[in-house]
Amino acid sequence: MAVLNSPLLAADAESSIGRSFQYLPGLIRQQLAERFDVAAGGLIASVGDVAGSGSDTIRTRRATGYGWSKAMASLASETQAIAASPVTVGVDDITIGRQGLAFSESFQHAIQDDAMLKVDDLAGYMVDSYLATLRSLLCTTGATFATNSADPAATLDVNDWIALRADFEETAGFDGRAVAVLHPVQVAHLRSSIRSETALQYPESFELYQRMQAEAGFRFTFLGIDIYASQDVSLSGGDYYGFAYQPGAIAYAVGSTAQMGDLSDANPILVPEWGIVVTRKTDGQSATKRVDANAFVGVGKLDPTLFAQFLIRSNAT
Amino acid sequence: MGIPSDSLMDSRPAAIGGLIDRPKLPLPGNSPFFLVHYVDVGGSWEVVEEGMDAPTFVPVLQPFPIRPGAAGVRTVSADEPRSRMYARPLAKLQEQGAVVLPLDFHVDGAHLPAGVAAGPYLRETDAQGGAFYHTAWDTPRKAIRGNAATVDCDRASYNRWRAALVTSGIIPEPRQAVLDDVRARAMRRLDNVRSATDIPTDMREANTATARTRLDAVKAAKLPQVNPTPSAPKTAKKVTA
Repeated sequence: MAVLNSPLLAADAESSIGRSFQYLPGLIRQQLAERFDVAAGGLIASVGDVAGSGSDTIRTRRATGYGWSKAMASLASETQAIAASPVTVGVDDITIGRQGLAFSESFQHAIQDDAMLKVDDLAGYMVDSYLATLRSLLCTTGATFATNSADPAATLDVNDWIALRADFEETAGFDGRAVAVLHPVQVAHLRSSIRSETALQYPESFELYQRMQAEAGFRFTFLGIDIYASQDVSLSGGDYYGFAYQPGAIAYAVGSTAQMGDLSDANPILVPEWGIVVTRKTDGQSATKRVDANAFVGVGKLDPTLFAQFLIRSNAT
Repeated sequence: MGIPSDSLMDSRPAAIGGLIDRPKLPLPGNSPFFLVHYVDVGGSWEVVEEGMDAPTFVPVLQPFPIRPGAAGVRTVSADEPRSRMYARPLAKLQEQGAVVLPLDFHVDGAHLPAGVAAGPYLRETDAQGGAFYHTAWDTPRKAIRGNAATVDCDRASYNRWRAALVTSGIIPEPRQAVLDDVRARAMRRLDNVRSATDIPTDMREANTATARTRLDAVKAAKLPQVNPTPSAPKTAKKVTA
């Protein structure tokens, strides 16, 4: 038993007989999370569904050397034979993987909970988790782009961005739209560099370049390249591995969950077009409930001869 | 007199690991990776000075994450060897001529920061989002500001190790065009900052000096040498009275 001396203080009472608590509504947690939906932003393209294909991989064909990519030869004489041209072909693989997330709780927690943390509430956020996974897979894949455009010996600056723009311009087939996904620190470095370029400091453009996140993940457009930021951008060897590409360079495939057969014992929630299946389980013996989400999705890159793609590797500090 | 066997006690250090809360880094978990060097592509070599005697071209090593569902890595069944997860993307990288350093590639202590034990280049640290994998030259830490974390890299030893990969023949020397590209980009950078006539003179001069210093280093840079010829001993100067 604790003795509470007069005057009775709330601070003393709370440590002895009080209970501090704090509401944790989902809304607040959502605002703290990085809401960057790569699917809605058009940063990732679908290449299809492996369901019923017998394979975990979708192979996309590519071909060039004809049509717009092949002009006719100018012939030197009336009788010169036309040399037959080759056609170049190749394939890219997009392989799905199994992604998972589960929550469980005791019956007692379900009875007492006042913070919207019942597993049934958490199940409602599984789709957000899926989109966060897609974003993370996008960043993991982008970090494997082979050709680096930035100066790896320094932090990101305007000159890197000019070089990046030139790299896009110099790539045959580039259609004019480019996006970049950077680490927020890389964005800060770029902004800092822009700050010292007075030609860029018209009030309107200054406001544009320096503003905070305008919509989920999107920061601003600079030299025609839409810049998104994510903490999921890889960090290794003291460098961030941001990346820029022509939309279409990164694609995803799913394994539709539509034809999984009878799952009625697990009270399932299916989102076949995203390869999601959420199952639930109740165990009276251990007085627990559990929800498991599985997603069968994969992200890969298409060949740089089809879609321009560059790594933006720069110093973290 | 011997000690009665029933008095023998097996005393050992208590397993207190599970009883102590160690703060975890505010980093998202990531995937293990192997290091890859893309041969003869733009940006596959860089000029470094830290830890080197003179500006030196070293190969860029890029992490290739082993994460099912990303970049061709697949989910395997419980009884399949784990290496099959990345067998296909690995084969594709090798078809493209990339140099892949295997996960068990041993790094000796001489090429690691002080206090880091010899072993594989891949290390891991507990983070809030799961295991955070990083290279042996990286030290993850919480950022001073914000709610994130960052990584400090011992660039001096990392640079020396990358140079050693070239001198030991593990990574081939690049085509001249790749080195020329590095020089051309450094030159273009100098041109950019020099031609920015709209900014204050002192700032432009400072930017130009930085870019020029960088260009000078790039121009002077050499590929790592196996056994650099020791400089000839200086001839003692005769002093005549």
